[in-house]
Amino acid sequence: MEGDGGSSLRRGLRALDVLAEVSETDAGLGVVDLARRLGVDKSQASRTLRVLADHGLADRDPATRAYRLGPRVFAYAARVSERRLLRTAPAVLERLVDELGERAHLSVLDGSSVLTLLSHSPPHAVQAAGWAGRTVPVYCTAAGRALLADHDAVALHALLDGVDLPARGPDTVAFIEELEARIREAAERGFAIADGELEPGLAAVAAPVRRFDGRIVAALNVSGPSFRFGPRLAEAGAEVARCAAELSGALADHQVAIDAT
Amino acid sequence: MSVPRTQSLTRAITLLHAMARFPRGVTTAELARVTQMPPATASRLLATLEDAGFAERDDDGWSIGRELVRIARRAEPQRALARSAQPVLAELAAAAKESAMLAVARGRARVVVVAQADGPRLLGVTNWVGRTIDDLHASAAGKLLLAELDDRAVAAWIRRVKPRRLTSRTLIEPRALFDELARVRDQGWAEIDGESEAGLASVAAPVRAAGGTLAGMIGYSGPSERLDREALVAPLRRAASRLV
Repeated sequence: MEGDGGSSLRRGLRALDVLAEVSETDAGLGVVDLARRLGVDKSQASRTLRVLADHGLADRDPATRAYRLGPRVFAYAARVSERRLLRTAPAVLERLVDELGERAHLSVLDGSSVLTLLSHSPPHAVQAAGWAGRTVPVYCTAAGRALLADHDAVALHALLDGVDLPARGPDTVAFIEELEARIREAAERGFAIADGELEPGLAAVAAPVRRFDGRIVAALNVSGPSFRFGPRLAEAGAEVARCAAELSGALADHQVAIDAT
Repeated sequence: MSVPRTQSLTRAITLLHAMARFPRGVTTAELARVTQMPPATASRLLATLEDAGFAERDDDGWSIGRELVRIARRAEPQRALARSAQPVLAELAAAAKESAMLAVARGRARVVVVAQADGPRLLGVTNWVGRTIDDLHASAAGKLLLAELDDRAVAAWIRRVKPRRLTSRTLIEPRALFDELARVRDQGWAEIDGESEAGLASVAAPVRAAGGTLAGMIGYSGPSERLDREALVAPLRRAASRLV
């Protein structure tokens, strides 16, 4: 194949594998070390690292000339997570609907709003409306609080300062400090609850989905009318948290099997 | 030299980069077109990437492979844990008014502090983030790490490292260390009191990943007189269960 018969590619892939062992607190890996680890000569190792660095797959510390993994490896890994999320989530939503009998959604943070990507519904007459593609405010929804679970006071102010927090239901928060307290409560509990915050009579539970590096990338939530769903929020929340953890496991490439049946 | 000696690597990276722009998957023909590569070349390079797990193919075509996730995770497991730990440590520190920290194992015989949150008091510990601890026998987190080993491995560690005496209370005799580690295994948490530095106490509980492997150690440090170690075990355990 190719001018080099594919040998530089195989060398490059092995180099990435070796660089992955360099943790961020270590000094990095020099050309000589890498050459020894790969069993190639120094000029081959140097050429390989230069190509990887030119494309952002390796990162060279100008002071020490040592290499570590580059930012694009993490960007690529993030793309794998997104794809896997969209492929794995439908089966999880379906199962939540089967078990809880209410509408289940997968949503992501979109500025200071929550954007619903996927939605799955049960055969009830009275139910939360079809939401896919809709946005709702982040401050008055369970999904919003799940998505903001890692935001501290500084990050919340950065996101919401200047954003109106109109009361949409009897229990909507009016201040960022109040929102922060509810986020902490939700984190402690393992899932967020909103009852009569977005709209009177609408209740929801939600939990965050994390990708391979621990970052929150989506929220799983289930919503329904308070008269029916209200008494079951604790049970439903625990189930949503369990499913969110399972989805996170799939994104992290843990050996967690998603039961698609 | 007419052909660059890194041609296959450069071209394969170009393919990966093109693939990243098609989140729903992309065919070999389309990839060859956007990268202006002969289809046969693209096809051969993709096969090599697939063998190594860097590319995957299904009904929707090619996508970036999970080997890249594995590599990214391996390089960053500590950062992921440290990031998720920060709000938890802040709560611990606020609740007990003492410094709370998360440490992870670096190799098998060192501990490094990766995250810390401090209480509101003036008298407290300094910031330890990034600090590596080699004196495992004189550290609460270090004792947890040693407690994972069986007695034979601990004996080998003692022979190799020759534990240093840091204060009059440091445990350096093998017998005393074995007893202490048995106690740590038994109660499921570890403590030090003036063993690393006079007047300094710590208490630590294990953070366990699915399957029970030790992912990190979460603990409190503060003045011996103030730190009620036994009372702090329960909040540390609750915090640990939220981290993984």
